Amino acid sequence: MALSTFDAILARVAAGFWASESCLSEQAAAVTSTLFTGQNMPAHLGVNIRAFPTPLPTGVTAYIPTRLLQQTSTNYGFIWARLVNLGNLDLAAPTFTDGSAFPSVTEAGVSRSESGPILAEVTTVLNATPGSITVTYVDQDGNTAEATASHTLTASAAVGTCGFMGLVAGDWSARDITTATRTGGTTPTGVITFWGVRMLCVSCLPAANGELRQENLLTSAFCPQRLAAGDVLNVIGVGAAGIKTGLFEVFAVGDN
Amino acid sequence: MGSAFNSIDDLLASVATNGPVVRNFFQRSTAAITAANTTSGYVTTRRQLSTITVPSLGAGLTGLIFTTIRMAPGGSNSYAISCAALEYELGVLTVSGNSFAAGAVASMPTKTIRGTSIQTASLLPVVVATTALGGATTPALTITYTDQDGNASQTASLTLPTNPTINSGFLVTPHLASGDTGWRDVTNMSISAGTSGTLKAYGLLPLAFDLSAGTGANAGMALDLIPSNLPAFVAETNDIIAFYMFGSTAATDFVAFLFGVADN
Repeated sequence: MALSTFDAILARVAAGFWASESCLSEQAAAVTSTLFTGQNMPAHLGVNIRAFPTPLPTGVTAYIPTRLLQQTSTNYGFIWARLVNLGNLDLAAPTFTDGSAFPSVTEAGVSRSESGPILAEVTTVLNATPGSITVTYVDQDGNTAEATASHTLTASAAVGTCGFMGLVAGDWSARDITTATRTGGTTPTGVITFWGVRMLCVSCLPAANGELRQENLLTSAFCPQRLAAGDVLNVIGVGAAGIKTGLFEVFAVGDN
Repeated sequence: MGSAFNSIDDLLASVATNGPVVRNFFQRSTAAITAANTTSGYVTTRRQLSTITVPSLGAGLTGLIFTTIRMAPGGSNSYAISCAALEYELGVLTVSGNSFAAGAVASMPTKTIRGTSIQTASLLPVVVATTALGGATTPALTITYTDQDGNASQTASLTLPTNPTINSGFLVTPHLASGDTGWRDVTNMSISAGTSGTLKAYGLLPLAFDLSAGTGANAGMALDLIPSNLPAFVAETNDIIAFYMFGSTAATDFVAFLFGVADN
């Protein structure tokens, strides 16, 4: 991040190097609340925030979100995040198709791999007896071949149904998924995509309908992060089952 | 504490120069915990099983200041309070044999406060069943500790619920010796009944609190460092960051986001 003073950020806004992107996210009635037996936190992957200009405009090396805005039809929590496509599992064979790993970043002067929770999303509807899945992953410390417990899938889960995966005792995130498989079920069908979650902030709306909540990422929840060209933000709704909609907006300053 | 927290500009400069330390945390706890009562801390307390170890830092950097920590528990934990804290294991009691051993650290650490390195005492002293207890019917737990001022051989007495389940925590503050507010170290623990299980005594230095906002809302009404002026403890390499929840026994999923800025 090149911008290193508050005044420098203001100057960039004054010079027009900023972007405001928004999205409307809707969870329809057809979406199942939870994907796994024992899942305590309903999760819903919202529509992507409209992508920041790509390629980046001349004079902009990255975008730094400085404010988040949210208004929803019911009160629930939000995880603002970039997502890493870690791979997907076709339940039928089953067949795992590998994706990407979390990127390496410089943190406190040291280059290390990022890590985050694994969010599983139904991307092709599941049949009535889809069985259970197990994921093998690299944990936050780089330990390989960590295998999750078997996660029993919700019957006939609709496209868009999501759930965070429980990890091995003591683990709290993953760097990569190396394989995934399905056991049990009766002629299972459906596809599950695994997302790695790189959080930008976690927030909530304490009351529904009409209340707007903003997160100031400089003077309140200080957590400015650089979004590179092509990075896309997403909003993961957590905690509330059922129908809901949300209107989200992010304001970002173009780094120099 | 160095200069990174002198101003927002200094925070921005550290992020620009060193890069932030971001941690994306998820924990699924599938079992309920045991509720506290008036003889065991009053406030029901869960310790999340997983912890974060503060990583190594680049040259010239001394620690991390967490400017934002947000926590979101699962849907069955409405209005639960979440806490992220630096956690120091001060003592271990193996119930079988009633055997005490020193913890992973010798005592609470020193931290620089008001420009001076001082010996800290836990702001929240807690005992946790790190494995479930068996054969322990309302056991009396006696803890010998060194208090916040360095007075040794102080005693705290609790009566725990029968057979606390794994990850059940019990706040010790209400049961400290009269006038005490915390502990620097735990020097002995003994229990009156029980055949299995482990109790660990921790000292906590809280970094952040978060209140789940209501039924199903799950995410925080957070107290952030800058507007809320929380204790700005600097986390050092190999420090342990643990997560606690107060006020709910239910099994829970738990998400946390941490943003750390390098101090110099």
